[in-house]
Amino acid sequence: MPEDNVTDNALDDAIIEELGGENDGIDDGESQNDGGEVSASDDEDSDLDGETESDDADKIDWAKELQDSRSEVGRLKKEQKETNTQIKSISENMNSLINLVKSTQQQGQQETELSDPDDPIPLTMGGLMNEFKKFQSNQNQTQTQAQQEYQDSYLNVIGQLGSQYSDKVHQHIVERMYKDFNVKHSNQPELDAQLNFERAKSAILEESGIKKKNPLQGNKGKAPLGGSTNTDQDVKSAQVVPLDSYAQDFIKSTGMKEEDAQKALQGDMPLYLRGKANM
Amino acid sequence: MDSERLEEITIADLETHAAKHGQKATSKVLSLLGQRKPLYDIVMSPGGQLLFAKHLNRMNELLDKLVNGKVTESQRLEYKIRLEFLQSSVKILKNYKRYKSVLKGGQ
Repeated sequence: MPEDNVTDNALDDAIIEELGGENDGIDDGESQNDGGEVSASDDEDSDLDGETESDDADKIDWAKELQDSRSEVGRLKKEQKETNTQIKSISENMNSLINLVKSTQQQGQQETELSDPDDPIPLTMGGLMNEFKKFQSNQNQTQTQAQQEYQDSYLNVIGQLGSQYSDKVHQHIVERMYKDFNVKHSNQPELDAQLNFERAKSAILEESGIKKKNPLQGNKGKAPLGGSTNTDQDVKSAQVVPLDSYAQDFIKSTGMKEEDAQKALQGDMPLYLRGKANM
Repeated sequence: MDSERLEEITIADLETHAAKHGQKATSKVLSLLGQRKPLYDIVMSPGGQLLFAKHLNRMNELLDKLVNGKVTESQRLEYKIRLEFLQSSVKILKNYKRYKSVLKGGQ
């Protein structure tokens, strides 16, 4: 028996050495303290039963330690479980919050009715914003596009009109046109270009003293074609309607001259509308 | 004519409108346009667009608070005032667009 006990102790030491080298004092201390904690009466029997009792004490210590460890592990597991539950609930809350924000944003984009009980006319906030944005983008887009189209056609026609003249003459006419006669009369760039070009050409011819021969010079008394014989029309058109300050400001802001606008208001009915006045 | 196309008014437009509807009507429409053009110019200017964007952002903030029920009385009043301003501005701009299309012969 003592031999067996000696073998067991050596085994413990070997294990301890294998694990960490030096003893950490615990096991050894317990095994050694087991000897110290043994009562005096037990000491007397130590030769015979001390080794057995220390062995049992070791086993009890190991068991106790194992139990403590298991308890610790169980506690840790429980804490981990609680932590996982908390994490799960937090992530669920965050997901629901994100969904709520997204749905709120979508609602803002849709046309949701906001009824203010004090306001008799219900107004849609989303509709107002959409209307404003649409108005802005339409304005910018159509104006830019229309301007570009007009300019391209205008320049194209000027180039075509100049083909019947030499480059020098054409340049001279175009310079004069840009100087004095470059006016936008309508939204038809072809007609505007022709009109401005012809006016510039006529001005140059007048200044140079060259008069254009009138092919109908010998003919007299012919009524103008398509002319209206409605005298009421003539009387009406002679009346001057004054333009208030707002109208004048608007005319100025569009680049038109007030005299031209007055003439337009007073002038004869355009040819393309004659005969259609009562339609 | 496409009522969305808002090109500038020309002499030909005035001639046509005056011939169809009379000089008084044309000068009246010109006056209506002139009354609204200042606001239109302000709104379409870069500074105006910036101001409007800020105004709309502030309205969004107040709206969120209204929806969530976390709005004070002064904020509620501020929202009402801003809303009225926005309504009237949009009306003015819409009318400007409409009168211009009238002169262009859209109606």
